[in-house]
Amino acid sequence: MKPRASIEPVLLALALIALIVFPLLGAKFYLQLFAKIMIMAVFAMSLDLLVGYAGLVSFGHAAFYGIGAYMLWWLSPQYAAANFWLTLPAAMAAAALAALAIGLLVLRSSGVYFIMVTLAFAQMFFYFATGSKFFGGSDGVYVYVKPAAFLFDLDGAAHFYYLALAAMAGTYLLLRLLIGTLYGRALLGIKSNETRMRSLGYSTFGYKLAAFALAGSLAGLAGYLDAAQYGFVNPDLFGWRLSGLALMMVILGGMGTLYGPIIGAFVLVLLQDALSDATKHWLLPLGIFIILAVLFLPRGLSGLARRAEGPHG
Amino acid sequence: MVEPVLAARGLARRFGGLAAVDGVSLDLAPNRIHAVIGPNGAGKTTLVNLLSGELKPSAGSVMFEDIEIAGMNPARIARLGIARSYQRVNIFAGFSAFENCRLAAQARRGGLWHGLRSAGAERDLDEAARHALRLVGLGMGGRIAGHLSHGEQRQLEIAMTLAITPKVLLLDEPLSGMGAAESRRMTRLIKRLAKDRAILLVEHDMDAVFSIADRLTVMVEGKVLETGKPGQIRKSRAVRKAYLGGRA
Repeated sequence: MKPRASIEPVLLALALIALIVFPLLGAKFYLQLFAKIMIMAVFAMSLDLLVGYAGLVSFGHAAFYGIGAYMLWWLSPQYAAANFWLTLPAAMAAAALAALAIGLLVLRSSGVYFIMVTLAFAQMFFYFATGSKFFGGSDGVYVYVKPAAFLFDLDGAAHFYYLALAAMAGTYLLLRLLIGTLYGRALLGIKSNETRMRSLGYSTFGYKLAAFALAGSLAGLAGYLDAAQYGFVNPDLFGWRLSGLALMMVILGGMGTLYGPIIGAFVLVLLQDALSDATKHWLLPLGIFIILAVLFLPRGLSGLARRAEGPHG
Repeated sequence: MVEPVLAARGLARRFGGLAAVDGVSLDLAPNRIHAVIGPNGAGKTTLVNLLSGELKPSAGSVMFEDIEIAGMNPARIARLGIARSYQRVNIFAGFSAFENCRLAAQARRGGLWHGLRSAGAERDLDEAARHALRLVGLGMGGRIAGHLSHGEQRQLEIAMTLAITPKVLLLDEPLSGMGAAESRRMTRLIKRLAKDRAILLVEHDMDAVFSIADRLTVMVEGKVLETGKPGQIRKSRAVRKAYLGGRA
């Protein structure tokens, strides 16, 4: 095969450097905003593994985000700090287990049915948390003390920013490596033609289940960080709005690219932020922007860069 | 008589009140081409689907070597070494022909965990894919599968089944939609492939079938009407009446 001369790694390296030096220049408000965006980028990338690589359009991915967030609350002593290095893996494992269990059920369906069943499961979590006294009901619950991590201080805006950046870069790297393996190739094959994969001898269900569980645990990572950032967890973290937002980031940025969802997360959140500052009716221009982007950029914003590279891109 | 590689006994599949395949028995011998012919709706493709696991039989058994495979899922059957091609081209249209074959080759080399090894390091898969492409005469396979001609896509379909190094090949109308020259080339290829595997050939092209098949089964309305050598089938009065008409 011909070598793919791509500017993608160069651009990504530049973006990473820019994000590393950003705290030296930026105000505290923007550090928090960017940390939030990078957490959303982790969430969106984990969804891209399903949507863009396995062909599984999940509309309930927030279920695992919510589990990660509630896990931090549940594992935190009320007036003392939880251990970051213990609670983070526990939250991710819980999200992965939940994804494994739910995946066993929902992965039997496909297409529109898959969209609906994943949505149904996430809404089930939403209503359960809303109605449960233990989980604080619709008012949510508070994590009064941020988890302690020995090496860094999650209370400091810059430290938390770098933690979110590390999570985003790590997630990108992990998924990029995974896509390059034979397993990644098989996932793409399943997305392209699952019947054929089966008749070639692939037990496609196991491949999809593994992807679903991994995506779930990464969504749990994002949810955990969200709870750690704001110290507040409520049932909306399970909600379809959050699932839909991640889906929009993936589609807007360009699915099946991994860096596309990062771009999508930045553009969508920054735009939301700027528009809501400018006008009370910010949802209208945001909606118009998304419709135009989907109409004119079928491969998402990241498709622009590839188009600029020329016909081989 | 040689031991059959694949032996079906009393295989049946009902869809509601319709028996699409009704008590079919046949043996595939190693290194032989066993053709299945019959008018449209005779249940030939259903038979292939039953053997490949895409449909579960309502009754009957299928033995592959010493293993009962009736009712197994298609992936397991394929991993045992029974590969199939499709009547309608069924490939990964967005991938290159080479990638199509490599994906096929990968299917039999270990499961999910094996798949976590880096794709770049898997030279043997590349070699298996190239070998399969060479066998069917598709060259390096650098082109996108969806852009190949219909005949080439049919060749690719065969190459993919070869890349999983099957002991049994189930070919569902490999000549359909092919021109005369392509068709001759494919017929020669099938003949060559039978040198080291058993082949079940479902085909409408009678000239091709009678020229390469070692044995023939004639199906009508889900049942086996007759099984025998091409010469016997040609002479059979029942077959002539039911199917071949005045042609033979």
